[in-house]
Amino acid sequence: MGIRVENLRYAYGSKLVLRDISLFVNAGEYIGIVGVSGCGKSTLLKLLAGLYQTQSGVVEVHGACRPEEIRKNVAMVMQNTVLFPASIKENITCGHPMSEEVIWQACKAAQLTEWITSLADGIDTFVGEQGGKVSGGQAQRIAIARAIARNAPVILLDEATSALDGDTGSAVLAALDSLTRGRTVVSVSHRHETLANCSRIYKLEDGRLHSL
Amino acid sequence: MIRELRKLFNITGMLRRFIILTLLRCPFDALYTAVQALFLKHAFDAVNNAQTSSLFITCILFGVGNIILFLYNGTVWTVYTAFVTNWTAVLRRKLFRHIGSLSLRQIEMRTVGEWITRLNSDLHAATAMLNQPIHIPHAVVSLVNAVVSSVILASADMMMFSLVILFAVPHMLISRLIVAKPMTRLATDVQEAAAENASDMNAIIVCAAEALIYDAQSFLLRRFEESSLNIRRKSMRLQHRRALVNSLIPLMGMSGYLAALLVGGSRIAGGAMAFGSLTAVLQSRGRMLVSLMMFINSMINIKTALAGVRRVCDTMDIRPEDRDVA
Repeated sequence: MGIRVENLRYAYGSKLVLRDISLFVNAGEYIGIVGVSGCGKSTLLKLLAGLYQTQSGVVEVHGACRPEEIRKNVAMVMQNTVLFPASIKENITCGHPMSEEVIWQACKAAQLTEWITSLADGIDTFVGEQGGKVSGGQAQRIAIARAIARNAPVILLDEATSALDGDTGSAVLAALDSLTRGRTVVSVSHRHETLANCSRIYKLEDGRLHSL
Repeated sequence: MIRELRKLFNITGMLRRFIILTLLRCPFDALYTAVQALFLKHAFDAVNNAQTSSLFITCILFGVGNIILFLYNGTVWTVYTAFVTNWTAVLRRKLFRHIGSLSLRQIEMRTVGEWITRLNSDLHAATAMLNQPIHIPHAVVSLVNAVVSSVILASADMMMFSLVILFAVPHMLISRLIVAKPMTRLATDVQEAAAENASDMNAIIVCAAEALIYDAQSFLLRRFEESSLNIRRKSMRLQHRRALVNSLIPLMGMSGYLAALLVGGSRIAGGAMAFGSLTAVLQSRGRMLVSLMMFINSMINIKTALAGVRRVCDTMDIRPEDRDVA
């Protein structure tokens, strides 16, 4: 199924940010898009996530074209992860019914188990407003666990590996590896070197996509 | 209460001006009460004695007295309103500037909802003490008026005064102990619930993208609904206490009125009291009770608003970290 984008154009008012973008990603393929800040990478990713309605052209994700249908097939992880002001568990389930087994498997894959078991309230620990009571790395791994538990066929990564360092960085990378394995992945970044795992890399410049 | 108010005026200044304006506002109700009592007494005496010219003069004097009093009252209120507008602006500006001077770490120590509540409803509650009806100005005015009415009543008829006091004191005590006293705590609970609710509302906006992708809008709305219901529950507790005061009014007020009427009626029948005197006594009693009611309600409102005052003062007490370093 994968992803199909054809002749996609998108503008904020009179400012055209994406011009005639065409992109085909096979199921299970991992591709990267690189570009400077403000070039339209996040806009493209939001269109692929079904967060924005297309203005012109086609976006088809895992066979779905309507935004509300597209959203059912994707999970997204961002650099600046936003968590809900709720418990770790609620951040993973997003309020949906989910078995304990699925939740703990997601936690394990996201390298969270050890940390969660060390907490007094365990998986019911409140993460604070916008994840203010957990570190950036922990928040990102909770977001990854959420994406794993979602079990979506398409994964979108927005600068997900741009600010990783040390032990936290390797834990997040391992978590991301669990998340993306066997899935269709589109990863965007402003740094070329963070897209080393990609089978194809594109550069987004002046609203157009160029193959590298 | 005085300590909190002093802290609030330490932030804004202008305490002396506030005291002067509030005191200037006081004579109106007291004089109005005295004028009304005198008018009723002399008017009914004139009617009793069929003295038309005396009644005419009494009416003329009452009219002139009213015009002077209302002109005075209008002037004082105009000046007071301008003062309070300025005072509110100063407090708002200082609070905004103070929060703006805090470090990011200090800002992040509290939730978005907490800051929103402090900048809006807490500030509103604090300023309400000066610019909303039945708060500090009315408390002072009603207290002065109650004292003047009491003096008029006591000097006119000590027995009737004692009778009125007998019914008024229990009402005052119940209102003070059961309603006014826990009001600040109950209002603080409401403000804290409002802060939590504002945070949940904020999450609906801030986490919009995540909520859309993970189909979590209903989850966030459910949380928002729960915290909204929590505010309502806390507010209901507060309103129940307020309702208690209102339920006391018919109980204490009507029974006191009937007792005064019965005693007065039997004294008139016995020739110990004139009808005009009873009318004046009942008028003074009415003014005294209205003043006491206003005072009780003002105290309850002030106690409620103190929750906001405490939270505003608490915010102003946070020392900016950057300033410490400097």
